[in-house]
Amino acid sequence: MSETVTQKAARDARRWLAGHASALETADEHLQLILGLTAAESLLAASGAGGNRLLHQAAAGLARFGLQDFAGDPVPALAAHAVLAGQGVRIPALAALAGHFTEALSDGARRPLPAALALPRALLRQAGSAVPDVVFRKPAWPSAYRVVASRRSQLLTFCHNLGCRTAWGLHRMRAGQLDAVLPYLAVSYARDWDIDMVCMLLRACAYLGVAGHAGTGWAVQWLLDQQQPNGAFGLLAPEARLVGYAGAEWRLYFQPTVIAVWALAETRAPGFFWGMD
Amino acid sequence: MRSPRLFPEPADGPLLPELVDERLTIGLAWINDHLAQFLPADRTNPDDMKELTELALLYGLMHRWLGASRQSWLEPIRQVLVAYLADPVSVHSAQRQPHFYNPYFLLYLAVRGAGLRTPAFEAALRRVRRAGYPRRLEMLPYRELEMHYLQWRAGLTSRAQGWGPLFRATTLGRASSPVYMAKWQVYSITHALFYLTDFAGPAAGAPAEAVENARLDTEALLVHFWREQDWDLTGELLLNLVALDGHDTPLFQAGATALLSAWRPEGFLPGPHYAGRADRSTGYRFKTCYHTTLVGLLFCGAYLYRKAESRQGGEGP
Repeated sequence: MSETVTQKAARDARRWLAGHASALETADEHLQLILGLTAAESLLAASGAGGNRLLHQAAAGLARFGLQDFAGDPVPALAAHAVLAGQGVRIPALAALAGHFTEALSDGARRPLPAALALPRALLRQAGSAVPDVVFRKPAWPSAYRVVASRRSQLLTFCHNLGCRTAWGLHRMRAGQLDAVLPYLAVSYARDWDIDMVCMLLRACAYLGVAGHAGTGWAVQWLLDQQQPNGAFGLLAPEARLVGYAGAEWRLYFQPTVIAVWALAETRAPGFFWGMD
Repeated sequence: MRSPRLFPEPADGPLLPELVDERLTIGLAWINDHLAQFLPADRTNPDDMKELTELALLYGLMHRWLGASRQSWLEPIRQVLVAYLADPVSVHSAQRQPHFYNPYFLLYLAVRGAGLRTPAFEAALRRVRRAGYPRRLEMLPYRELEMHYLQWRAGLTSRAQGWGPLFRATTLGRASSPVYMAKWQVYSITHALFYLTDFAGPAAGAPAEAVENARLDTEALLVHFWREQDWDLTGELLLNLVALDGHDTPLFQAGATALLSAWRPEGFLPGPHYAGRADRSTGYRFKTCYHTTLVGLLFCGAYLYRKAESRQGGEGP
């Protein structure tokens, strides 16, 4: 895979994401924007003023929300907290959320915690929180047979859990038969034109250390083919028309663009979030 | 796309070779119970010949793969084919279309190497070859590979087509991404590999890079069609992996277990268009499942043949 092609994809995606920052309406969208910009910066290897400026703008947008009633996935919130802490930006609502999680993790000093909590713990540490040393239960991986036979929703959950257990690639793990199956599952879901699932599988492959597999390469190439000239990811006009959206509805492409850039960043440098590249 | 159901993992079941052996036994019994349905309704119509031609291919390969102790399992099929070849209607129909992708001669070539020859068909073959069969046919590259392969196996030519220009003209040789392959292209790949590897392999003399690329394509497509529960293509791709020596991997073992678990106790392997509860008539079941069952049997036969070959140096299961 040519690095130039991926970098151009990241640059175009970053421009498109930043161009819609002022139209975002929810805290969750702002969290996604921060993560998308972080992944794009990683691909561009550009932590210079341009990237920082965009992140600061995104943080200012997020700070408008109180987050007291935030009921979304806490992982993006903790991740954004870690990213912004690295930029010297502190959003009180995110800090409060991090505080709650730090307290919950202190339980782990007494007994092993579910392996899925490895990711929140790593994010809190990245943000500079004083989290206790804890022991996690050893994850049990399903067989290749079971994973291939899984329904889509089951596979999404599995990939999400794998990301949590490996702390987005911070803890390198081997998963036996899955090393050989997940890259090909990414190819399979690409054949079904399922960008969400392909991105989740590509990230899972990166966390298991098989980003260099031939199947991963085919899926990444397909993912790059999904980018529009304006930088957004997803060739979703046919689906949009089916459900009655106008083809120009930018919000349809927001989440796919964030997850595509994130998947590309993990594939190029597994564990990029932790500065492992 | 059909939503794949989560079927139970066959834990603590028999080992793969034992499972394969058991499916081979019940599958061949099912074929033998349905031989009448393989016969063409109208043997003057080439379009009615598909089932019997495929049965002949199974016979030709199994005759070579099964050990002496199991040749008797093929006897009912042999009798059907002998009776067909002895019928003047078959010979005359075959001889009428020398510039046609001719199922009559595909059938004859498939069994000729297994010793099923008749003077009438031999004479007809000489005549159509003189009239240009099969070199005057315009075919897709993988079909050309098939013709070369069948002529070689029938003993009409001295060597099979190798991994040369004809291979490079196929979908397999063009190194496309498996993401973008249409279903007919997947069939092109599985069939090209059948003929390049003599169905069961090994892929002796093939360039290592071409074999590795073929294995990667095959594994990627296997996972997709296994997920789709398309046992037809899953079976063909598993057969390809046997030939490419890709049959000792966890992926292969898991895929093969899935295929064998889909096999019905009655002896047939459900085809992609089979809807179990919609119509249980014997005719419907045969029509929708015979081809997939033949593919499953070829997989079983090739797998056991290669296993036995590696253990004993030649004698089939």
